[in-house]
Amino acid sequence: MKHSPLDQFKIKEIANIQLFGHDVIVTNSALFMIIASFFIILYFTLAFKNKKLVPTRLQLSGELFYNLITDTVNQNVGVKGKKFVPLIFTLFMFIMVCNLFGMIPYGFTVTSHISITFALAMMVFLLVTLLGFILHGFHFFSLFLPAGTPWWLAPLMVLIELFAYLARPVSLSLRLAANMVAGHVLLKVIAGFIVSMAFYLKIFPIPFISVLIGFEIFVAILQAYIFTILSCVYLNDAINLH
Amino acid sequence: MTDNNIEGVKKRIEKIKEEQLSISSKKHASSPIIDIASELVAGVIVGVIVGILLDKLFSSKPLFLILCIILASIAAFRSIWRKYIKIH
Repeated sequence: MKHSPLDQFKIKEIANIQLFGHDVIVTNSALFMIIASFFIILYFTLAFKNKKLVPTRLQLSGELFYNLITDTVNQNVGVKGKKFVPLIFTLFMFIMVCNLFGMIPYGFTVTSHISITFALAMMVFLLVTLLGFILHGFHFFSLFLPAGTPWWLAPLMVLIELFAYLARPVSLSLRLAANMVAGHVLLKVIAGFIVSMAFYLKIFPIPFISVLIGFEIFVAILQAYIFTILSCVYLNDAINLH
Repeated sequence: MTDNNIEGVKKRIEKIKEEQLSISSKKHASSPIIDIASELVAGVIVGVIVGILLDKLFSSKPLFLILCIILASIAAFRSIWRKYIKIH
C-alpha cells in the first residue's frame, strides 16, 4: 500500500544513536521538529541581525509575525498577558513552521500526530491551570460557575463546566491534528485523480490542484493562528477571572 | 463637548464594536465541521476517561462511566452552542 493516502503519516526510523547506553531513535517526526526549530532560530537571527530603522524585507517579515502575536495577546489577554508573549510566539511559530514543512513534497507533517499536538495543548492547559491557582488561589474554582446561574442548577453546572474545562486540551489538539490529516489526505486523493484526469482534460486539472495546495497552505497558517488564539483565550480565563 | 461630537463618538464606538464582532465570528468560522466534530469527540473521550477512573476508584463499574459520558456530552454541546449559536 505504497500509495495509500495515509502512508505519508507513517513514522519511520532514520537513525539509531547510542547515547550513554540508551537507544536514542531519531524518527522522521523528530527530525522535522529539529529542522523546524533550527529554521525558526536561523530565520529570526538573520531577520534581526542588522536592525535598521527602515527595515529590510526580511526584518519586516519577522516584525510582521511578532506584531501579529503581540496584537493577539493584547486583544485577548490585555496588559497582564505581556509576560506570555514569548511563549505564545514560540508556540505559533513552531506550529506554523511544522505545518508549512508538511507542505513541502516528501516532507512530513509533524502536527498530524495527536501525540505532538496533545503535548503542546497539555503544556498550555497545565500552564493555565497552575497560573489560575497561583494568581487566584481557590477563587479560581469560580471559573466553573457561570455568572447568573440559579442556585438549584449550580451543582450540575459546576460538573458540566468542569468537563468542558477538561475537554479543552483534547479538543485543541484534535482540531489541529484533524485539520492537518484531513487536508493532506484530501490533497493526496485529489492528486491521484489529477493523474488519470490529465489523460482526458490535458493540463486543466493542474490549476485546480494548485489552488488546492494554496488553500492547504492557508489552512496551515490559519490553524496555527487558531491554536494560539485559543491558548490566549484560555490564558485570559486564568489571568482575568470574572 | 457638543451633542454632535458625542453622537459622532457613539457612532464610531458602534462601528468598532461591529467590526470586532465580525472578526471574532470569523475566527471560529474557519472550518466549522472539523471544529464541531473535535469538540464532540473531545467531550466523549474526557467523559470515558474520567468515568473509567472513577469506576476503578469506587469499584462501581458502569455507573460513573454512564454519568460522566452524559455530562461530558452536555458540556461538549454547550461549548459548541457558546461558540457558534451565541455569536451568530
